[in-house]
Amino acid sequence: MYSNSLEQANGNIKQQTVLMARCLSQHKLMDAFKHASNMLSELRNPLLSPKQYYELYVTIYDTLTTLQQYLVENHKTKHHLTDLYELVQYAGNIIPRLYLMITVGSAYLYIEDSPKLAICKDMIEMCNGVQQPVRGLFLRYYLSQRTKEFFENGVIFIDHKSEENIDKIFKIDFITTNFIEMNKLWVRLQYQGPLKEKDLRTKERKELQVLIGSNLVRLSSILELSDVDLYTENVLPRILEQVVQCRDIIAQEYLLEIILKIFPEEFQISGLTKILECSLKLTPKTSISKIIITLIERMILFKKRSADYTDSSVFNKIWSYLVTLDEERPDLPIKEFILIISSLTQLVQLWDAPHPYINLDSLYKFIFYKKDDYTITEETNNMLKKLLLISSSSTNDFFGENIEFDAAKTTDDLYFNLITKCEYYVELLVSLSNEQLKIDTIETIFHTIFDNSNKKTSKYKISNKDHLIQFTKMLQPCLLENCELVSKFFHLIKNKNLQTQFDLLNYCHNWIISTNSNRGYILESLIVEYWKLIRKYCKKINTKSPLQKSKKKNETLTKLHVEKIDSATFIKQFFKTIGRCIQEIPNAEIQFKMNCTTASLADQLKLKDLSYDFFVNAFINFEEMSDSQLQYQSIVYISQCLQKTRSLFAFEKNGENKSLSTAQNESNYYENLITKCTLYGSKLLNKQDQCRSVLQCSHLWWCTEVPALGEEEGVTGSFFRDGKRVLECLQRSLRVADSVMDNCTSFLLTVEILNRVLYYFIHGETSYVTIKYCNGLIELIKTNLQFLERETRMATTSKNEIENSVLNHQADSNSALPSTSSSAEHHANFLTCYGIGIDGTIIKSFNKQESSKLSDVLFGKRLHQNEHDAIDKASAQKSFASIAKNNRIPIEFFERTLNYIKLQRTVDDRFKLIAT
Amino acid sequence: MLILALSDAYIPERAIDLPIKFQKLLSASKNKISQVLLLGNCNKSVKFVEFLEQKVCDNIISIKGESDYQATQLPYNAIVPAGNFKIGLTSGFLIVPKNDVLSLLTISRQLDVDILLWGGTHNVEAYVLENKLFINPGSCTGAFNADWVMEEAEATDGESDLGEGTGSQVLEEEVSKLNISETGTDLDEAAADQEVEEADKAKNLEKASDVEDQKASSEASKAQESGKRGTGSKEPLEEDKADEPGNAKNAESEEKMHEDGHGAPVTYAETAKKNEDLSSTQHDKSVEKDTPQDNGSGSDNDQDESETDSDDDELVSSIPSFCLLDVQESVCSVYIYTYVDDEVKVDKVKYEKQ
Repeated sequence: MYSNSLEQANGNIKQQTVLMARCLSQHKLMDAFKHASNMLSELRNPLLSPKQYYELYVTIYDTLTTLQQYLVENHKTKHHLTDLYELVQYAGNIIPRLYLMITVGSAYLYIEDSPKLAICKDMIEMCNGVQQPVRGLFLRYYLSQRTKEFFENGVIFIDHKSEENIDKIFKIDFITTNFIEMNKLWVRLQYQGPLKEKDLRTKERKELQVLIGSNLVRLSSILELSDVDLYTENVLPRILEQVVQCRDIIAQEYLLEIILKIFPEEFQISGLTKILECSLKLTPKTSISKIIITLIERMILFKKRSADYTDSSVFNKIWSYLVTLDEERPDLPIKEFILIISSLTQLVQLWDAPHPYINLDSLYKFIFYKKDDYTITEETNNMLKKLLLISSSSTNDFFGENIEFDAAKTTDDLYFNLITKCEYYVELLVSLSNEQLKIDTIETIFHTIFDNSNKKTSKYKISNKDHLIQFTKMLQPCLLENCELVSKFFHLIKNKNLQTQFDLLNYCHNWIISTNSNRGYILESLIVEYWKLIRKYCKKINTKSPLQKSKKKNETLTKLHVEKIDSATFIKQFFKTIGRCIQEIPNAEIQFKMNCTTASLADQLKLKDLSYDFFVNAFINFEEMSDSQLQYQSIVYISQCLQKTRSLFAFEKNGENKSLSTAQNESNYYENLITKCTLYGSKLLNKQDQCRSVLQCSHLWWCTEVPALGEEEGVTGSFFRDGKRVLECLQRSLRVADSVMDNCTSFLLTVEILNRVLYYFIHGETSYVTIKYCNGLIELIKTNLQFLERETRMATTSKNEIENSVLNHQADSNSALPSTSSSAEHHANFLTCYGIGIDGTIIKSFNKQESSKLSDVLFGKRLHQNEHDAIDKASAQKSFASIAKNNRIPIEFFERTLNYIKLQRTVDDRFKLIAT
Repeated sequence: MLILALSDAYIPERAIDLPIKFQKLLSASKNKISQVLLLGNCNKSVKFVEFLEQKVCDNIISIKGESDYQATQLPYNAIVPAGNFKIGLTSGFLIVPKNDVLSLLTISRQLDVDILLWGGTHNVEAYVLENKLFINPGSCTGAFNADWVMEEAEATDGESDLGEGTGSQVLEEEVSKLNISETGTDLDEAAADQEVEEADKAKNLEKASDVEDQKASSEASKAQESGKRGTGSKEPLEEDKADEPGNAKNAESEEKMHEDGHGAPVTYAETAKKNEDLSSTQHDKSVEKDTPQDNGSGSDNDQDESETDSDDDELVSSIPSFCLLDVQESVCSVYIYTYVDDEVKVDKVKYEKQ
């Protein structure tokens, strides 16, 4: 009889163990058997949970091992095992009887000339007698454990010389049979007990799964690598048959996983088709993806270990399986397919390297069409995103190796190749139904591409139209959302054939125009690429021609001529395209700057007509600008550009003028432009701006060196310079400065003019900008200074008051600088912390605690914001400008200027003539 | 106190991003840099600004460049106090004539600053003039620059009517005796001698304007001082191990420049070119590797193009560079980082307020 509780059972087992051992030491074998039988009765208890049953089983197993040892040691001396084997059959109850029988039988296996085959067959036969799932399982497990040693140590059961494998086949049969029976019991366990305890059953079954799996482990230890055919033809089909027949989800998933994990990779490749076929016959709810992914991971690991193994049939087998799966299992959720495809893409990358893209494309195509059969949920979209980003979510660490793939790590140019070589990769990406998710995905992909293109080693670029079409298709969703991305993208386009490059850029141009994009910024980036193209093209023509000249003079002369015309037409075409791009930009300020830069480039290439036209266009843009601050800056900027031009005027480097007529014509260009520029400057509304513009424009009549051209001040003697016009500008600005109805500003402007005058003085322009003129100006400033100082004194403003007013002003105005709360800190260095900018603005110094986050300023102005936004007129500049009422600042500037003059006297005698 | 100066990123319209090695270098020194100064054309890319704020330092002062259309709130000039210095920032695009030394000097006077930073030329420069330090950190991305480029090809062509100059001799040659710090003691004396010679030479060259002369001599003395002080100095930014070969190479290149007896380098574009030459001789193998492939492809055009490919890149991009100012009371050390041949090189200029 068995005990009522687990405790009692344990106590009984212990007691019986002691008693049995005592009997054995006294060689009372029959009594020992009796105690063993008593102990084994505990395993008859039907109320034990599998876990409790296991606990008892383990203790009993140990006791039976002692018994077995005794039996083996005393064979023939005290008894004969054949007799004992017969004897234990008389035990009263089936459970103790079979356990004792297996104990004796397996002891007999140790004996050399025992009938091993017969014993084994008998033992496994007898096990059929127990059909209660838990008891049957453990009994068979006991059999498996007791026979393990003989199977694994290569003890020969059948000695038959003609058939080598017969012994092995017997062992396999034995284990397989035991496995099949155990599995049946295990599956049957599910249907024991009341229905409401189904979940409990499932839990119990999972606890017991190791018992069943142990048989497969045993099989794998018997099979050697050379037995691959035996495995594929004999072992695997029988196991799979059982897997299919049992029609149980837990069993199917568990067993297939075990099969895929414990047998070597060579076996897996050989048995691939069979496993795949089997997976088609599984019960509908069994997770196919789980099995296939494990299988694929196994293949990946195999390829990693033996890289030189090539078998193209692997993909084909899985592919045709996929097709069948698609046909036969329309019930399968899309999730399953995506998971399988995800894992397959990794397999393909590895197995078909370096050219996996045809197969990859097939996979993307498959999923692209497959997903049309389903309603797409958020989850599906997220999974598709993962698929597209080649990031596997496998957390399978069974092999102690990380199978996860990182797209960026595997190959630098993976995304690039996917986009250019896999049509359906792009199709799939673009077809994502969640717009935000789609853009996120595209951004991630492009950031990887950009990072890689940034590496010096990276050589990949977009060099043909097909690639470009793929990329633009992919970028389409970003056109409105992420200008930055699209703008950067253009820099990846590179073809060494510059005419092809031109075509590619034109394609992009048309693409932008045809879409409703945020054109300004994107076009700007494209124009930069055109600029680069022009530079390269001209360089190429210039380097090629001398080579050809030396060769075959007569033949190539005409050809060269034709080529030259061709290239001239091309260059002109380039510029025209740029001109068109600029026109399409919906912002006068950007247009203006693009025109100026293009004009400069044309000038550098000696294309004076083109250069002139672009400068004229810039002036047209200027007229469209409404903001006075912007207008002033534009005048300064264009004069900076004009001042560096060389081809617009008819001034020959070597000083020889061409014929008068051409000289006049050409000089007209430059003169036209600079006169226009100065005129625009002098017409600005604000007098300060007027004054400063004209002052800066004076440089347009005073050409300075361009080091890149090999020009050098003092060496190159032929700069375009016109002191008379310079003086006219200086005087004009002085007049304006004088007419400014604000003492302080007027004073500041005259000091600025003085500094400009010193510039020309140093440059040696003394015929117009004379010493007398300098001294006169200084006198004028000094007179103004007296009035200014008097005014300051009259106001009797203390330093603190000035400061407070300034700070208050700061706080009031909507300036870029956050107002300070801790004014005390600024008391100390108030005066030294202000300066005047080149445009006359007063600048307060930035302190660490003051500077706001730059992005806070910028984020309000994100690129994709409406660019038609009127430019913020209340710019910080103006609030600064009003601080100029603080008279000290320009006065100090004047003092510094005088100091400078004094200092220069030590090195330059001419300065001694200037009276300070 | 370390202050980072960046200029002319032109992201995204002219460049994709900072070189990866710059990014690593900067983000590795996140807690060391206390301020970032952006000298224009750096404000368009939200990603770039976020990178600086999150990975480098969120204390950023930015001024407006010609392409920062949207950033209407940004000023065109700024003054930043640091140690005993006042640092002025000015947008290069409002200086007429562009990059002009005397105009910059006027601005420094107007702003009343000791150090003036400006940008817009995409060429890194650092020089002392009138006891003031002038720094142009160049373009941090090596963006395209629409200014004049050197036209060697045209000079050989014979068509050029501009080719009479001696190539790259510029005004700044006299102005900017760059005080490159020495890493080895042996070099110091030689270098100092060299500088004196140079200074003498400069004095003898009677220039149209004497100002330049004065600059040169003041420079030379400056250089001597800094040469002595510069020994054993360490770069403030170190990028793990990757930086070491760069440093070694750098020292080598400096040595070479002095051996040349060709005068101190003028702009960093040139320094970099020299470095390039140096490394090209060192890495002959890589050049050899390329050629057989080209022969294999057979097409004449391809070969031509691959030869001129690198030249073309020079035409459409500049050398990425930035500056780092280490301000200690009245001493400011400027570290100039350039990115050439996939290596980050560092040079040092020392300046002391008088």
